[in-house]
Amino acid sequence: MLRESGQIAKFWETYDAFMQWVDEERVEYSRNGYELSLVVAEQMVDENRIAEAIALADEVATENSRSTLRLRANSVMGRAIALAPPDAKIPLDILYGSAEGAYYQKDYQAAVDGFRLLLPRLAGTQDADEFGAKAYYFLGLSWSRLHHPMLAAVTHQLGYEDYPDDETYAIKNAEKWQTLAAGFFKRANTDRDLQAFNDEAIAAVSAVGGGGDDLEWNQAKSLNDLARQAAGKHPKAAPGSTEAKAIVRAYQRAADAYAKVKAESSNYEKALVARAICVYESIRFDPAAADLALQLLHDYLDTYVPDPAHAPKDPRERKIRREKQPEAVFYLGRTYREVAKGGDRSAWEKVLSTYDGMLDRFPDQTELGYAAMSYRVEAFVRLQRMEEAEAEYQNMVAIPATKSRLAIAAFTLYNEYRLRTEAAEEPADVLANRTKQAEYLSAFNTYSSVKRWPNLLGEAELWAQLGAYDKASELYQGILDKFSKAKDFTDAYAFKVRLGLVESLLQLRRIGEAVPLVDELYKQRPKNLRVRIAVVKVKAGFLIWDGKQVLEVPGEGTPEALDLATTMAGELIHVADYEASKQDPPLNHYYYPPWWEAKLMQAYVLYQRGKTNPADLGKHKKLVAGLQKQAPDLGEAVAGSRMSKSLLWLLNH
Amino acid sequence: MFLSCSLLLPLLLPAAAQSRVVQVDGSTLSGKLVAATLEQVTLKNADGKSRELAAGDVLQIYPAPLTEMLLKGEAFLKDLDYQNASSAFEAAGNESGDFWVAPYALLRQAETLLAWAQMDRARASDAARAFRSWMDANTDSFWIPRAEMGAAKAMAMAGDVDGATSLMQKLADTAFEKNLGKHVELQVNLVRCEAFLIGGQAEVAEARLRDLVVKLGNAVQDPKAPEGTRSLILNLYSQSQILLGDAIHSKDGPQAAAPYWQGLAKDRTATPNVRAAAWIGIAEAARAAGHPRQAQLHLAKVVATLPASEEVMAHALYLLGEVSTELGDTPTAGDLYRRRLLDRYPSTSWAAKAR
Repeated sequence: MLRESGQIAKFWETYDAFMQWVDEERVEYSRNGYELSLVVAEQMVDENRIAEAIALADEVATENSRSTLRLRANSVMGRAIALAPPDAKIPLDILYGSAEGAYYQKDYQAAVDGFRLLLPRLAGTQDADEFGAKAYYFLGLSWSRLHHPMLAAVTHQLGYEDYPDDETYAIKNAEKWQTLAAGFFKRANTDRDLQAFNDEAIAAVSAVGGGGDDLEWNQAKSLNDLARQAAGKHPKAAPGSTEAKAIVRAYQRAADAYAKVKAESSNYEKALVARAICVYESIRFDPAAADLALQLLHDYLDTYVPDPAHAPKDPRERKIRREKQPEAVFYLGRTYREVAKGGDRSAWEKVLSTYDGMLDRFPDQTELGYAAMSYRVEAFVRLQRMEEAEAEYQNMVAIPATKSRLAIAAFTLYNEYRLRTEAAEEPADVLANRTKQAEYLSAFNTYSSVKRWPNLLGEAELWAQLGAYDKASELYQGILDKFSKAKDFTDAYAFKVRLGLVESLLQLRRIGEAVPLVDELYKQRPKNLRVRIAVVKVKAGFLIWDGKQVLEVPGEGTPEALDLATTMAGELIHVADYEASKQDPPLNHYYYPPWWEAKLMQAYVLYQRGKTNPADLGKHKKLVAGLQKQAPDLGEAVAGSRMSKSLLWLLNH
Repeated sequence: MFLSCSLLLPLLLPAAAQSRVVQVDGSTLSGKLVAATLEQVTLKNADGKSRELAAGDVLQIYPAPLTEMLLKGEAFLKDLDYQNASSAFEAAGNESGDFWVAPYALLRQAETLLAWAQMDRARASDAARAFRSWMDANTDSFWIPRAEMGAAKAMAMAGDVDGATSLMQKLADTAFEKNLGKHVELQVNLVRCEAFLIGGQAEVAEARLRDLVVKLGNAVQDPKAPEGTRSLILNLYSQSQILLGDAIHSKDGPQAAAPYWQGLAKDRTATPNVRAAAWIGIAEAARAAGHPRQAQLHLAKVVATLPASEEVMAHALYLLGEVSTELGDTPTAGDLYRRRLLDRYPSTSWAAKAR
């Protein structure tokens, strides 16, 4: 109250008397006594007796470390320092102790206030070396505890920059700074200022000998992962597009980060190859990157590896060399492949030479070796050296390479033969290419770990076209058995597969198996042309030509079946007539193969009718004789020798 | 033996408050204030004895006891409630009491209007008028230099730069004539520079501030300077350094001021307010150049490591909140900084702006 009422002289008089009494009587303080001390300390603050105020408050805090008086004492100390002029003499060790104490008591805000007051006063003092770096460190930790990561990061940064030579805390500040900066950059990796902030932090850690071998390597790997993620989000981004440019920049950042791994680091050799791979991976978004990828890979393979100074010295280094050298060769070949696909055909030769003998050179790296062989198959195909391509493929089969790589090589060959089949003009060439096409597609389907019905259907149709109806029927049946419930296996495809199966079965003379299928198809699509042809065949039977003789395949043959077959055969002729007239230019039906097929069916139906109905006897011969008058070769030139042989058979039976 | 209550009794007896006088040598005297002129300050102690001090030896007077209306005015002012603060001080100015109550109250009213003018320039004329009126009524008061400096700032803000600088020249002459102390001369110089800057004459302000910064720097280092004035001079030095940066900024833009601020930022012996102003200046330059992230990092340094004044910290938090929001609230949401501003510095002009 004396203080509150401004009676300061009286205040001190009373206090001095009190202290004298305390000394003489050896009084121990109770809480009241310490509270009085704090009142005195506050008065000292008012009188600008800062150092005394702090010392007294510190005494109270020390003696009452477990009571709330400690907090009040800290508050008085804080006020004293806050009000003190910058040049006031303050026992900084006490101030440091108070702030650190607040930290350990988890009063992080008080710790922040204390350390902030301390730091500017340290500058230029003898205490700076003792407390400076440590104060920044704990201030940074306090900010982290208060969930202010940016404030923590800049605190550690300043702690390192102001006290870079502190033996203990320079490295701690640098490492905390770097950890926080890396976190910021990871979450905003396109921010160049954050990247610079992160880079400065890494440099700081390295400067104080921290971070170990892995710091720059790990940073680069993180950036690489980010680049891959970006690429994964827009895998088809066109070169030059906004997305592609962003992806290229991301890979560039990763590559630059790998370039920062020091030569003394145990990760250096890995970083050389990883950098090149980064650049390679950016090629699909920026084809111009291929040059740099080639340069980096050649530098590694042609300069770094052969240099005796870089010979591996221990098991770890040898392991790295064993892994990285073939990996680099592999990516070199892939880079040449990208260059070749981009238009430089001569690069296919480089693919071949790069991958030549890959398995022999690196027998441990079988995966890479098989992949290299499949790329060699592709290169041979692109260079139109088919014999060598097939020979390489056969080598793969003989080893054997993994199924996945065999499937890739087989597909490459299938695709080439598919194109050749389409381009071929001579029937013999068509047949030869189609045969290869079918063989390689079959191989692809065999080696594929996941069978896809469109590919199996493609194979079945090829075999049917080639007359290998046993293979075709097996495939058609297999598709129906395994894929009829697949989501993309629509009714339209189901119909197509059943029809293909029916036609194959008919060709194999397995009429009994075909009949129920034909009935089902006829119910589904009664107007479908191929269904109607199948119906005629199963109802009336038909003729086949096995290359040497004409054979009969009997049908149901009942009067009702024959009636239906007769009607259908007549309709098929009308359809064929109509189709011939619609060709461009319109065709005379004698020059239209489907018309001859329809006529043959009609003739055979009449033949069958003639067997059971005298009214129809011989009608088939009249029909064929009539055809012969108009076309003496009986359609051989238009529909093949099967047609003429079959019609002649009818003429003679 | 524990502390007995009886000894506490004298501490509990109520009695009249006393004025406090801080001298240039650093010592403090208490007593009843009976006179405060440009020549002399007189205190009377409890025994009735008078103590006369040369005005030039007195740094600061804290009159007491403050009346209830004066206390209300101070409380309103602390909460930035300028209207009510002005009214309370005006009312206090009409109260009867010790000789100093009315003039002190009206001086505080003028100073309140000046503070209000910092937020609302339209009040500057009112402030200038209030100071002039006070000066006319208290020609020989100890507080004349204080009033004249306030008047100069208000006049500059109202557009009368020539009037402000003339007034400061007059005050400099008075200070010399009355031997009011070097610290007054330096203060007057600073206010004159500030007037030039407020009045838009940045080039003149910059030139004069460059000289003044050197002078004040020397004064800070002067071992012969009176003990009590050291803090004041250091404070003036800090203010001059900050004003110089502001002058360069006003004259040539934030980018031109950046190198100056960078020099101050690196100086670990600079006061927290100076270092804070430097980092804020660098941040503003970065932001103007389209680098908000750099601005964010510099502002974070202020908030994280400096015990600057409440207004400065509040300013830094305000800008940090803005920039962080601009950056998509990464890595920390701008709102977090705004909340910290409102929680920790509620009575600042920046908190008022944030609300």
